[in-house]
Amino acid sequence: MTHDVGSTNERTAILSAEDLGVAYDDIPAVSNVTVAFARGEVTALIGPAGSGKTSVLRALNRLHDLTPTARVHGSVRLHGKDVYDTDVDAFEVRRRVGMVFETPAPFPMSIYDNVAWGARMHARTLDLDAVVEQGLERAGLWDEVKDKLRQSALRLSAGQQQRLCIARTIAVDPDVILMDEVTAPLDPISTGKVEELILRLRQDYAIVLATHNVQQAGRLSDRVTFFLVDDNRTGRLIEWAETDSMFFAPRDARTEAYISGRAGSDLSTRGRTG
Amino acid sequence: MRPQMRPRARSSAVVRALFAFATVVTLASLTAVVAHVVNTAAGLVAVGGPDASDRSPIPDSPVATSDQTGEGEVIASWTLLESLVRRRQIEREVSALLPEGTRLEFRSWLSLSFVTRGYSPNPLRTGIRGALIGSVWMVAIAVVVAVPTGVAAAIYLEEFCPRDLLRKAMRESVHLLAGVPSVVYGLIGLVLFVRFLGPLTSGAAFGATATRVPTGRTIVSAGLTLALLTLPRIVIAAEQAINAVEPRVRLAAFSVGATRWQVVRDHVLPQAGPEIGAAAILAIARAVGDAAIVIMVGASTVVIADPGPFAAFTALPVVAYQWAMRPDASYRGLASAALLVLLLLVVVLNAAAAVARSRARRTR
Repeated sequence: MTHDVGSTNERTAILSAEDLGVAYDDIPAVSNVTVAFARGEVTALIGPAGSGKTSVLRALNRLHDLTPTARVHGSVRLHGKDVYDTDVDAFEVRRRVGMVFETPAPFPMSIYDNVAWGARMHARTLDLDAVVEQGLERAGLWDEVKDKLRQSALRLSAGQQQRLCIARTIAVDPDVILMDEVTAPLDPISTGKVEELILRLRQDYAIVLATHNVQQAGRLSDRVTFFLVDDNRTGRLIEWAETDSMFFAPRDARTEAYISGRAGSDLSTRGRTG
Repeated sequence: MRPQMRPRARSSAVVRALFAFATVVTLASLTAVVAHVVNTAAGLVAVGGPDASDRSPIPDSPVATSDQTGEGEVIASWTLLESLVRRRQIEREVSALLPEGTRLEFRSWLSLSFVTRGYSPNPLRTGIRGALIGSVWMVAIAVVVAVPTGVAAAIYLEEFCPRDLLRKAMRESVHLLAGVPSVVYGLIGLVLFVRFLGPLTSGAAFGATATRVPTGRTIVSAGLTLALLTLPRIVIAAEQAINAVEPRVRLAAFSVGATRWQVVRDHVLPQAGPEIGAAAILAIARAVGDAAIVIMVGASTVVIADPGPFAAFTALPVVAYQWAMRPDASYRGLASAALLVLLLLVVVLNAAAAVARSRARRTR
């Protein structure tokens, strides 16, 4: 599979994957993914369901370590160091490559503890109150919750919960934030708030956003990667380019079909060449 | 459509009736047990005065003489139902058939003094103090030993076990162990705790032995055996509770860089805790009524002094069993009363489990 690297400067990339693949029970779910993510950029992963977006995301922060049936091959480099090297601490990788999930998953604790829990774990001498306030502030949630920090996080709305999860991720000071369909279960207004938040956070982190929503990818991302399954139901990276160039001049006919909404999950690589 | 409706409705009615019948059988058997125990735990008794003392109520007991108590002996007894329904008839029978001076009185075998009194050869004065203390000791030891061990094993299996195959094999073994009959555990207890670890379980190693000749047939041995019996059930229940912790919370915790132990300590255990507690209480409540295991480990028939951990002991189900085997009616009443206390203990434990469960639901 050949694809253009767009114009991403490999030297500014914080996190990069090379020939990355994930298999469950030895059945490949996605393979041959080469991509890089730079600070100050939002990279959207788009493609139909089952094309391997989530598998790639979870390979980037070694979350597959927790699934005994999952195998990751290829390499993932964080600041040039392969995170799958034996001398690398997976827990430290996950702190530096944070992740927010589709369903808001606040801990069944107070709002304060949700943000403080991760931070407390990594540095005990930290001024936690400041970390919590800063995290909530940056997640655009501070004004809404500052008077009820001791309240259970489960009583927040879904949109607030999702922003709380982002605050929680920010609080442990990551370099990269992986977001897996973070607005999928939210109403349009909550989605709008989360999208604004992503644009605000963009300058300080490398953000990787998996989404079903092509328009959202267009609104938020600087670069887009397009995934599709091949004949063996294995996900492939079809195209990786700057958002504008992919939306206005996709190099691959399948990309164009998907972006323009003419084709969905029935797309396959059969009989076409990228 | 129409012609098909009737036969289908009929078969569904049959199935529904079968299910209803099964429910009725279940409830009826439970009701029968409780009704029988209550029915025999109280009722009219005919008590012979001192001149009727030649009829010893305990033929096989050498110390059974009524003049020690001065309260007379039970010559005959009737169930609660009989006492309520045929009182007149019973009164006539007593005055016609039983010797002069026989008193007819209503007696509840279950009473406060029954619970607080120790052993007495006179069924009117005996109590279950020693057996109750023995059972409570055993529950306490089982809780202290089996709950932490079982939870730790479940955490290992669910969170730390490195290989999936190993985890499955160990899980199957635990399930197998949960099905092993209690009498087998009793044998293990006898061999392991009473004989092999005798110096420890008798308290001799700590200079704490309560008997002149140190023996491993102590409360500690029985409690540890009870812990062994409940352990697999606690492991299974804890595994299920740990499994029920929302995976997204777990993933989220890992995603901020938490270690396994931090996730278990701060998220898994707090969420699974009440559920585990409830299941553990139920497992122990189930085991506390098991007579076989205690008899195997060597429960005594008679305990005079309040037993300590290293003392010879007896337990509620053993006492109830021994009394139920006696031929005379008064001991049947005592057995029922002892069983009622046991049932009450189990009901209390179940209520505690229910409270734990409702707490678990509220925090979710």
